[in-house]
Parts: sequence; structure tokens; C-alpha cells
Amino acid sequence: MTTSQDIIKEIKKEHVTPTPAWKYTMKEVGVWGAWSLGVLCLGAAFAITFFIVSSSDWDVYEVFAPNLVTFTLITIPYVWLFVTGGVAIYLIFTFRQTKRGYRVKTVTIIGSTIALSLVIAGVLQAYDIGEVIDTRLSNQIPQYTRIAHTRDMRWHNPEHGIIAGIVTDIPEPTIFMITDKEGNVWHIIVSSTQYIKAGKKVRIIGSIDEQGNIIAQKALSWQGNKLPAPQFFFMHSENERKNNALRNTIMTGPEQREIIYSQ
Amino acid sequence: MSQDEIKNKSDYEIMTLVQTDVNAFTEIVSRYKDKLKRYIHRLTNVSHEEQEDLLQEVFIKVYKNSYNIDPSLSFSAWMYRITYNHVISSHRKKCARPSVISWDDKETLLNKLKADEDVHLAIEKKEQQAMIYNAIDKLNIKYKDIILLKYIEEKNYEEIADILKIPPGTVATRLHRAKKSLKKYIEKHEHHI
Repeated sequence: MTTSQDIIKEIKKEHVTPTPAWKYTMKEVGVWGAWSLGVLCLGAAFAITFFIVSSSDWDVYEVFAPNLVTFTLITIPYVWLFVTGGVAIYLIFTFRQTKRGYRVKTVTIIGSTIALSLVIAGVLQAYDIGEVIDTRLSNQIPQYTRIAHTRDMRWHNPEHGIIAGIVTDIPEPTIFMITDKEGNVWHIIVSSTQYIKAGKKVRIIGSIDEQGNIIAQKALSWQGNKLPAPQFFFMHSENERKNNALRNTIMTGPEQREIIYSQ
Repeated sequence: MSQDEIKNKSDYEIMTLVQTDVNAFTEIVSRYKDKLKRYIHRLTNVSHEEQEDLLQEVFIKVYKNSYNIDPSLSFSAWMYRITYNHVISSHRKKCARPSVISWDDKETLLNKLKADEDVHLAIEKKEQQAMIYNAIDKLNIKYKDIILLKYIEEKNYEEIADILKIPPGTVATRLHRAKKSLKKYIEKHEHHI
């Protein structure tokens, strides 16, 4: 039979000492740090998803899908959905590792984490961080564009007169040239190039003629009807308000919005 | 500090003393030794010597964790948690934990289940009693852990949640499912008696 004295003797014999309090504190800080980092990542994933979805072709969805539901399904960036799902699982696991995390229901952890991440996503979106991350990923990882940007693929169907590219030259009042994502140069024939600007990315809907020129029925800005970024109470300084007003004006200005050219 | 003075202190106060004076730990050992030994016996059917070893290892772990006590938990729940985790992890290293609810415990359990409104056990024949024991044996291990803590160790939902580190709602769900599983087994096998 083990006695109290046996245990004390064993503790002394083995030179067992209590684990210092700072180690527990460090562990708890580490777990909360890992959780916070995860929430930030989830917020960024939401911001990118929001950017990709909001800047999609809602203005001409009927060109790509028979109805809005089908178009929504082809627009969703599934890769980011998987990322958010993975990060959410990591967050549940991490939260459970906190001292009192086991007491909270899974649904509460998911709900509060998503709510917090959405707030972070809103803040990131207000500063266009979602767009910045997405653009950097697109520029640095070619595979990323292929899996996350189905929109680029959608706009590379010249046989059906659907093409997107950067305006490189406007040689005549009714012709401009674009370079598509594969580096091909296309002649676009319009009745007027009044609103077409070199260096801008445009979407063309039309038909291809026998010479390989595209006769445009519509020329649209790449941005389309992008939703304005959310505004927060902490963005109330005079300069920020002016900057946001200016940015929204640019985003919704006639030269970048909706149809630049329509036959 | 004299042993008599220590005896009048709460578990938490003693554990604070233990951080600087290992001898104060004797009081904690005497307070929990029997309870934890019984719990270890209920969790596992290893030999008596192995149970003694486990008990000693548990107390050493408690001592090592003396700076990690959560005052928002009941001290007893904290001790049971360390015991449960230690027994489970030591069994995981060797093999799967065998199912053990001793005959004495089964009798206690049966009496408590009879009083439980959800189960409504009407035990008239000896065969029925044997069948219920059989049903208890066949329960999933996670249900058995809950039943053991609720009916044998007489812990409340909050304490069980703290011991097993699961949400209190999950404790209630598992207990409900355990009772349902028992009832289903009994109904299925009743006509054989």
C-alpha cells in the first residue's frame, strides 16, 4: 500500500520539482498567439474571397451561365473555401487547447471565430488588402491564377468572341489592340475608341471574323461593378474620407465602370 | 508549519504551500489517496501493483503541476482529470483500455439506474439483473467513463466536463445516449428471459 511518505520519498529521491509557472503562462500565450494568427489568416481568406466574388462578371453573367445561381456556383473561389475550412478546423483545435477552451461548444467557437474573422476581413477589405494579397499571389505563383482565378480562363474564349487583355495600342479611331493572358495580340474593332485607354485591362464580348479580328459588341472594364469597400468608424479623419471618396469616384466613374463601349 | 495547521487548510491553500515545501504534500496525498485509488481501479483492471504504481505516478504529476492549478475548477475535478489522463495515456502506450466496472460497482450502478427516471428499470428476476450487467459491459468506453463519473464517483455535470475536458452539453448528451443505449439493449434482450 502506497503511503504519503512513500510518495514524498520518491519525489525527493527523483529530485522532482514543480514546473515553473512561467512555462504554463508561455504555453497559454503561445496557444492564444497561434489562435490569433489563425483568425487573421481566416480574415485574409475571407477578404480575398470577397474581392474575387465581388469583382466577378455579375454585369454580364448571362454570357457565361444560363442563370444567376449557376453563375454564382462557377464564381465561388473553391480553393479559398477549402483554405477557410482548413483554417477553421485549425482554429477549433487551437481554441480547445486553451485553458478553458474545452468548455465552449464547437458551434460557439465556429460562430464567434467566423464573426471575428469577418470583422477583420471587413477592415482588410476597406484597405483593399484582399486585392493586394490576391494580386501578389497571382504575380508570384502561376498555379494560383489557374486554380483561384477561373475568371481569367472564362475570358479566354476567342473562338466565341470572348477575350480579355490589356490595351496596348489604339492605332485607329475604330481599332484598338489588346494583349491577352497568353501574350497573344488581338485587334478589336469598335465604332469608337473614345473611352478606351492604353494600359487598362478590358473585357470584350463580340465575335471573331475570318481575319481573326474581334468585332466587339461590348467592351467592359476588367473591374466591372466592383462593390465599394466597407467604411468603418475609425476611418473618419478628413484625409481618409477624401481618399475614400476619391477612390469610390474612380471605381464608379464612367471610364472604369460598366460598359465602356457598346454597339 | 505544523501538520495540524496544514490539516485545517483548503486543498488550494495546501497546494500553494506545496510549491515551496514538499512535505505539505503529504496532506493532499492522505486526502485523495483512497478516492483516486478506487478511481484508478475502476478505470483499469491492471494488477494491484500496477495500480499502486499508477497512483504514485499520478501524485508525482500533481506535485509537478502545482503551479498549474486552475482556481476556477473544483480541486477534486482537477485531481481526477490528471488521474484520468495519466491512466489513459499509460494504457495507450501498452494496449487498449479494458472495460472494467467491478461487480460491487455494478450493484451500486444498478440501484442508481433503478432510481433514474429516464431508464425505468424494473428488475424482478436475477436473469434481468445479469442482462443489465451485460448491457453495462457492452457500453462504448466513452459512455462508460461518463456513467462511472456520474453514478459511481457521484460527480456533477460541471465536474465531469472539467475532468474529461469536454463541454458540459456533451456530458449531458453522452449520458443521455448511454442511458438510451442501455434501454435499447434491455428491450432487445428482454424476451429471452
